[in-house]
Amino acid sequence: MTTVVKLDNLTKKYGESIGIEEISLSVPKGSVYGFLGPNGAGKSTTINLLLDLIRPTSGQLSIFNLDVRHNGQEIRRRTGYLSSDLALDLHLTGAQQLEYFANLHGNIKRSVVDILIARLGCQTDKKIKDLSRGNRQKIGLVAALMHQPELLILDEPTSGLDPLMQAEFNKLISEHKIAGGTTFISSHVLSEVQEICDRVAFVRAGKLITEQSVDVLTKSTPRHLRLWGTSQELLQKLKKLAGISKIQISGNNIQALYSGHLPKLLKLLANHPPADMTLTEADLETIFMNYYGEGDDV
Amino acid sequence: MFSSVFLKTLFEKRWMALGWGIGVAAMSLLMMSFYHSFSDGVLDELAKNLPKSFQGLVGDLQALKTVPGFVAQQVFALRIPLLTIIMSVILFSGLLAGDEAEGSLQTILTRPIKRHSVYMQKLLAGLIVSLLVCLAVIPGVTLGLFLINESMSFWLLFQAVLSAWLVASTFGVIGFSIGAITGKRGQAGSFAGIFAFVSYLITSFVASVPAIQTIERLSLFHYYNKPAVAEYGLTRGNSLIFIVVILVCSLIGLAVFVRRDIYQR
Repeated sequence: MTTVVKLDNLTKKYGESIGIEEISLSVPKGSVYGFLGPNGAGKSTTINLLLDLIRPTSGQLSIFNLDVRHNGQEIRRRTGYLSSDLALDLHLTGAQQLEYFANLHGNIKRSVVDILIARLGCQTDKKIKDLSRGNRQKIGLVAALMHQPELLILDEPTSGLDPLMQAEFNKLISEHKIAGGTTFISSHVLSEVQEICDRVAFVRAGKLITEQSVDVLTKSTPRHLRLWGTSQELLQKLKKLAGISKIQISGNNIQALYSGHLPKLLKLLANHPPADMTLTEADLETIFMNYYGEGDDV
Repeated sequence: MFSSVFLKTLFEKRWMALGWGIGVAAMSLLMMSFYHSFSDGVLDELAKNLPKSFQGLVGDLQALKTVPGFVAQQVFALRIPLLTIIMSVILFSGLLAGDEAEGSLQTILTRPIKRHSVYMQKLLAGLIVSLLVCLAVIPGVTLGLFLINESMSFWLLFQAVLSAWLVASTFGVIGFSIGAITGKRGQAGSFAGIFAFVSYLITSFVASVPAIQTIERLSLFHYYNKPAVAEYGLTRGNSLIFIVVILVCSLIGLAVFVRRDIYQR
């Protein structure tokens, strides 16, 4: 399979501190690749390296089999980029901003831009400074997609978008994938990438922790289990259930992490029903801790 | 206006150019209105009594009795360079470093455009804007001359404007280059501004402090308006100094800018 993005032992140091360290990964053509990590993990550093805004301390970095340093213009012509906090010209209208971006790219089909504007409900007649964060993000999204790029690089792209727009965004990414496009998306929200990604990589403290398919991840992702008004019998059976960990008991209430087979848990709860319960997605830190333990300095 | 970084920058700076242009024209007009106050005999007495150390600051008082001399001394010796240098330093130090601080530079650099192209287009736009502001002296002086019923060579006036533009642009480009190298607008503007101020002080006092004669050659004002351009025209050697400084600073700034890391906000 053709590789679109390839990082080979990529390291970026800022003086003494490390941005990322010896990260190697490959993003296959036509895939949606999630790049997950908590704030400060090295996600933005990696994306800035991909965009050639910063230069690696060591290691190799290529996109479309082209060296990012020496073929930046050609790569960016085929790439769309959107960040969570895209800086736009506040005194321009949305239409003027998009016209400017289109001119910098060249050969933009007006019909494509118009369709994107309509689908996202962009307010292009207002000045950027008068737009909400979500509406600015829509302008950024149109700018990222207007030239029908082969590769999308998205840095926490859905922040500021309402749920309806997030759904439209997911649809756009799916269509981009169906058309053969590749997407590299960074996030610190697991559910955001779980919905649209094929594979995910976890980074933490500048290092690549693991890389796996979303199917495997979904099965192994721990969930926060909270039970109220539980019986002693349920408690004893829960303790023996495979995949349960970090049980905290407070009277008849229980908190725990569960990463086992979901039907087994549901069957147990059906047989010994608590007064109330919640089962929610764990945050990334919890996932890391679950994988690598509290004391692991990853 | 949005077809290139160059045109977009001109569009962004249109109000700045207009505001400073009006200010420069008004200052020129105001100074010309004082011409007859200076050209009477009072100056002869003043010149006799003025300590030599102050002559560097006020210029050649005898020259004030002619229109070209007055324009050279009262318009182009201090006021217009001061205004246009302040404008240029503010303008140029913000063109790259200001955009970088706001994050809009990073946004542009994620588009298919080379860094050196962005750099050159911004630099060129800055030079055009500063030229437009400097050219505003011409209507100001011309209107002033009309009101006081005097005249002078348009060609000499134009050369004096070019000279003022060269000195203002040189300090501006110094700020632009430092901004391109450091990415810090404050540092760029401060350095260029302090350099301009110190240069002016050194050149002003060199007549009364011979010890600073050697160092004074490093002051860009040493090569400005000497001899007075509005009276005698541009001196090729002096103009060349400014052009060389602009080129060298631009190239150093470009060499670093295309290589350095540019961080997202």
